[in-house]
Amino acid sequence: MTISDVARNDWYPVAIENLLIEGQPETVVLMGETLTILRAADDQIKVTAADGSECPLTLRYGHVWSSIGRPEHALFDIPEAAEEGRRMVDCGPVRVKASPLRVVENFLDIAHFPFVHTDILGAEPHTEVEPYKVEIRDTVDEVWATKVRFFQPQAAKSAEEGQMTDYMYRVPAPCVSILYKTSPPRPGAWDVIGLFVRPISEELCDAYAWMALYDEDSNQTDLVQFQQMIFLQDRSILENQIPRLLPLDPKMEIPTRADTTSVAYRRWLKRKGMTYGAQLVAR
Amino acid sequence: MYGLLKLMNAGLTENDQGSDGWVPVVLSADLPVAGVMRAQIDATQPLDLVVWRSRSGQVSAFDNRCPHRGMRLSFGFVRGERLSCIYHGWQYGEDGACRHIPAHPDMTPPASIGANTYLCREYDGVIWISQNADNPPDLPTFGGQGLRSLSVNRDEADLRKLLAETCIPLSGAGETAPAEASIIAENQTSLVLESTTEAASLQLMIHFQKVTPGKTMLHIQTNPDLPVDLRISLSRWAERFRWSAENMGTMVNSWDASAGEMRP
Amino acid sequence: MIRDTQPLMMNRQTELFRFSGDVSDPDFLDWICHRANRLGLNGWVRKNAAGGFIEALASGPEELLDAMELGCSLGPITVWVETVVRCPHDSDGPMPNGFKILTQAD
Repeated sequence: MTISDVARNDWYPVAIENLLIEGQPETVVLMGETLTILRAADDQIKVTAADGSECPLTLRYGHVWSSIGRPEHALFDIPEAAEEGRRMVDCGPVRVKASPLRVVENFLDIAHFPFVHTDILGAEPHTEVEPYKVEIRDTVDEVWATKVRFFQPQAAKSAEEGQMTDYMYRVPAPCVSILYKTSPPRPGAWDVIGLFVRPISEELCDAYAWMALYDEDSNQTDLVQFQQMIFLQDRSILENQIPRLLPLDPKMEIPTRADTTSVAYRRWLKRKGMTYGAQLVAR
Repeated sequence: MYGLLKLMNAGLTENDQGSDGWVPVVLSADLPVAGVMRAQIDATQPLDLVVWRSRSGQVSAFDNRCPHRGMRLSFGFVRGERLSCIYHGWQYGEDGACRHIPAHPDMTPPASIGANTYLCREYDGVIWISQNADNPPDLPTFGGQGLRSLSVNRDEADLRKLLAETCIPLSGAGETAPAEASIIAENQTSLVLESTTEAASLQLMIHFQKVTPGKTMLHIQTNPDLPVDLRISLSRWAERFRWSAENMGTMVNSWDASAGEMRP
Repeated sequence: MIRDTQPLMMNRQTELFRFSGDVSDPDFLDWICHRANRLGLNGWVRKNAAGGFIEALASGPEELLDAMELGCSLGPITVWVETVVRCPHDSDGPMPNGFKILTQAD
């Protein structure tokens, strides 16, 4: 199929930087094309296409980002990643048999917390989703959801009871979703959890979770395993949703106010012409 | 004999399958209270359904797709008389109508929001689905006991031919050889195999569910109250039958008396 | 089949919706009508040729009017809804049941 320019000319995660071993190439597939990532003897990282040509490269947020096209923009900015005292956690890719756009949409959703992440991120009977604010910020061309609040059963290891937790969601690129969550050890600051998705095909992708947290107590393995557990719960949903592609026409669905971020995301994709991984006519 | 007369008289041969008729999807015993399962039917168009049983025992069947955001309802759970979708907890009554949307708990969902339903009926130890709500045909009566269901990678037509030539065990201890079976009654959805010797007699009722082209689910019932070891033998027979149907073309098992063993 | 009765009258609101943007595809009226019926709303939709927008009058619980706005803000692939404007509308009397497409002459 012809891949639209907007999909082709964008940045996608292809490797975790500090896992690349000198002289040992890794290969991944990005939208049907095989890319090889290699850390050379001089420590330079290069990404090459199947025909040997060099691909664009950015190293950020612990990941190697590349493209099968020619991105005209720099990779999005996450200022929190540069803040003192934060720890960065790379969780590694998880393969999902679903559209990359479905993966992003699921990451933006909170109404599923009591049912999919029961007693972790949500619990009955605290299922109500209050109205929140969603906008497409045209200056940066990103989708933002703010003033999102949801009841979390146990916000931190130290917390005994549940409490309302504040969230913000951000989509800086079609296959990237970033969640901001109030940080228990640092009230007023946000923990950042990113999901960077690499489309392998329209119905298959690798999702890399990444975090920038204020947390001095937990060990790295626990943090990674926790995030993995949450994501595997989501994967069971994602791989059993019909259709696999993300519908841009919601005729066969019933979005309600709780789905406002999802609808804004789909509108934004539609306006951009991002059709890779999308279903245009409802079935 | 168990239900045999009922069988002959119940219009067994009058069933008309295809998109208008009944399709068996599970043995009653295999769908307990609060059970939820997926059923695929290769009808005029392929159907993917969720079949579930409420706390009060009522069975229902819907399209396996939540009207909210397309999650498969067969992953859902039953609470009371409602099926909840696992994704956002939307709750559906037995009639398919949405009763509760957890994200908006104070709103009564309109009757227009609901899952697509299919006629679902429990009869004689089997749960049946029909797309034709107007004039569903009569279902066969056997009065048997559920043995097991079995998925076989073979077309239904082939399976019927192979069943006509099979041998089934009549005792659990293996003291007697399996006896040749013959089909004593047959219609569009089911057939009855009977196997008789001087010492014993057995009937199996086998109901056919076309799952996808080339794949059939057999739902098997036996005469009621058979000894456990015979039931186990019959279950093993079913597995051997499946193996030969999937691997050996049209060859069938038969008992080789002189060699004292099963021979293809 | 026995289904829930209509939502309580006291919870019903009536609003006028205006959909603007690239909304000229005639299929959009059917689409909006389908959406409103799915949500159990009463009212109508019509093209306002002079204004270049689609307008709809819908009556129902507030959450379902929100769902109407959301669904229609996406619509079929052939339209781009730039803005949705909603305002409360005092209906002259009880709305007839159902949702339909009005022609300009209605």
